[in-house]
Amino acid sequence: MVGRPSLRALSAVTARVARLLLPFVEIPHDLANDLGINGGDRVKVTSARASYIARAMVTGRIKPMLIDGKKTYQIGIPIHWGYRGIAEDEGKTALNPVNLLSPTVVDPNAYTPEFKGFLVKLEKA
Amino acid sequence: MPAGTLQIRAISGHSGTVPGRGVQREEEVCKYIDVTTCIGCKACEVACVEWNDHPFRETTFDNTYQTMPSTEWNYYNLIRFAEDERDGNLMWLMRKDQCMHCEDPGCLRACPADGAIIKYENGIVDFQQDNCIGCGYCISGCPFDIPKFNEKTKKVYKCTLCSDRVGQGLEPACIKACPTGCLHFGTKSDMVQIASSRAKQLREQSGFADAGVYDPASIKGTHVIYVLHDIKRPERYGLPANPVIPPSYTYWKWLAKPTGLLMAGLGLLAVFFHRVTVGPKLEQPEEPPPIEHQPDTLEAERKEQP
Amino acid sequence: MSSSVERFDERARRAADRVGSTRVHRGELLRHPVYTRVLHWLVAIAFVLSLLSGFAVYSPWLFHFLTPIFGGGPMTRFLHPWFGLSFDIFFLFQFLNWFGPMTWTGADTRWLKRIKVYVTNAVKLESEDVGFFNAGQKLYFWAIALSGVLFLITGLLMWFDNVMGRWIVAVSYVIHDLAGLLMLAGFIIHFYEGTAAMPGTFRAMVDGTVTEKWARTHHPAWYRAVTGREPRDAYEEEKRRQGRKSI
Repeated sequence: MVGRPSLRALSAVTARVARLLLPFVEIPHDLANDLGINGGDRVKVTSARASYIARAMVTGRIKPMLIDGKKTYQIGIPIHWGYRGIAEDEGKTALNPVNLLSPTVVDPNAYTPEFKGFLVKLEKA
Repeated sequence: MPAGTLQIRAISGHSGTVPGRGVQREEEVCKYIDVTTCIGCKACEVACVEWNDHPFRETTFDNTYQTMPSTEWNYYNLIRFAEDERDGNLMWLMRKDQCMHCEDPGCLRACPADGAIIKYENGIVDFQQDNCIGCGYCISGCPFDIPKFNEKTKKVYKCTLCSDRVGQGLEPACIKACPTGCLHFGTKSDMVQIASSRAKQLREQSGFADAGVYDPASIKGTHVIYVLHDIKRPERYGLPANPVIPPSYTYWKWLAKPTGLLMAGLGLLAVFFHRVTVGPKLEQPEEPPPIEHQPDTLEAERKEQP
Repeated sequence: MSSSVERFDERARRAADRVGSTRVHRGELLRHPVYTRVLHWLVAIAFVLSLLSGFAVYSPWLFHFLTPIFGGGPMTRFLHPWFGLSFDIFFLFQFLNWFGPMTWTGADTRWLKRIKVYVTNAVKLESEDVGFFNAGQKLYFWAIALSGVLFLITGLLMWFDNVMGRWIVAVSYVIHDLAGLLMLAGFIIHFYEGTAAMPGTFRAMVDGTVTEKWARTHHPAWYRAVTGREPRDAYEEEKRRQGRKSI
C-alpha cells in the first residue's frame, strides 16, 4: 500500500504492520501438503457463519495435534485487518472481514468477540 | 565533538542506556541489537520510514512475515524472519537487517566519486547523494548486500544510523521506537561490554551454549553489533560468517591503479624524449644530403686568436 | 572474411566515395579511401571520449579535472558506457574493413625481431617485405580487437552491476582497467607514430594520400604491389637526382 501515513497512526503499531503484508492464514506444513496448498495460494476459510478468502502462509511453527488418535490441525488468522482498506476500495481483495467468521457474541463496548477459537473448513479458493 | 552539543543526561520512559551518559567522551558510537529479545514487531521499520520521510512501499506476499525480500532504496531496515529447524527444535529467528557501519567499509573503498561516501569520527558511514555518480560499485563492495540503487534518481541509499539525530545527541529513530528494549545505543566499548555480558548470560543461564557477539574482525569490527543465539553459524540469521571486501578494491584500486597512471605519465615523457633525441623517420632519400660534421664555432674562434 | 562482408565493404566504400573525394596528385598514392578515413575518425573520437570519461572514474586524482568536461560526475558515469558502446560498434566496422590486410605473416614476426633497430632509427629504410601495414600496426589492431571484446563484456557486467553478483563486478573492474591501460599505452605510441615520429603520415588519414617517397620508405612491398616498380631501384634513381642538384 503506497501512501503517506498520518502522525496520529504512529502509535497504532499493529495497524501499520498490518499494512505491510496482505491478509493471510497461517497453515501447518502437514495440512498444507494434505490439501495441496503452497505458500501464497489463495485459500478459503469457512465457519458456520461466513467464509473468508486470504493467502496461505505455510509454516512450521504450528505443529499438528493428536486428539483421540485423530490428527487435528489448528490454523491461525492472527491479524483481523479492517473492514475496508485501500485494496478493498480498489476491489482488489476479499470484502469479508475475519470477524464474520467468529461467533457473533461480542463485548458490548469494545466489540471484541467472546471466543476466537472455532471450527472451520479450509480449502483452496 | 564541537563544544555546546546537547548531550543528554536522562530520558523519560526510555529503555536501555542513555547515549553518552556517565562515560568518558569517546567518539565512536555503536548500535547493539539483541536478537534474542526481538519480537519482530517492526516498530523500528516504521520509525525508520517515518524519520527519513519515505512513503510506504507496496508489498507482496512471500509466505513470510518479512516485509520484503531485501532492503530497498527507500526502506533502510528490515526484520528478517527465518524458521530454522535444528536437532528437532524449531526456532523462529528474527534479525534486524540494516547497514553495519563497518570500521573498514567496503562501500567507501570501492567508491570512485569524491565525497560520495564519508565516514565520521564516530564511526557512522554516510552516503552523500549529492556527490554520488550512480556507478554502483558500492553495491559490489558491501559484504552485507545493503546499498540499494534508485533507478529514477540514479543514486544509492542505505541506513544512515540517523547521523542527523546522533549529531544532535539523540539516539537513532529505530532505537527510540523499540518496545522491548532489544535495541541499544551508546559508545562502542559500552555496547560491546553489555553485549558480552548478555551473551554470557545466554550461555550460562539460558542454555544457548553457542551464544555470542557478532562483531566481525575481518572488516575490523562494525558499529552495529548483534548478540546471536548461535555465533558459530551466523548464516542461520542471513549474516556472512566471514565478511570480506573483494581484494580488487584494495590491491587494484590503491596499488595497481596509481602505478598504471605513473607508467602512462612516464610513457608520455618517453615518447617526447624519443622525438627529441632519436628523431623522426624521414622519407628516404633525404634532401638535401645531411651535413655529417658541423664545425665547433667556439673551437674555430679559438683558432682565430693569434 | 566472407564474400558478403566484402560486398558490404565495397558498397560502403562506393557510397562514401560518392559523398566525399580523395584527390591524388602526381607523385602520390591513394592510401586510405573516404570510408576508411571516416571510420578511423569515428573510432578515434569515440575512443578518446571513452578514455577521458573512464579515466575520470579510474583515478581520484583526475576526477575533478576530467568530470567537468562531461558536465559533472553523474553525467560522466552516464555517458561513459555509451561512448564505449559507440567505440565497439564503430570498431566492428573497421575490423571488417581491415581484417584482410591485418593478417599476420612471417614478415611480421621478422619485423618484431628487428624492433630495436626500428626504435633507434639505426636503419633509415624499411625492409623489402613490409606490406600495407607493418607488424607494429597489426599488433595494435589486434590489441584493440582483444580489448574491444574485453571492454564490451566487462563493461556490460559493470553497467548492470546492481543485478550482477559482487565478485563478477569486482573482477570485471580489474579486467576493464587492464584493457584500458593497454589501450592507453597503444594510443600514445599510435598517436606519436602517426604524427611527430613519421612526417608525411598524418595526411594519409586526413587527405587519404601519401607521397611515393613515403611509401617506398615505410611500406616497400605495398609500393611494389601498387606501382609495379621496384622500391630499391626508385630509391637509387632519386638519390642520383639529388646528387646532381647538390653543389
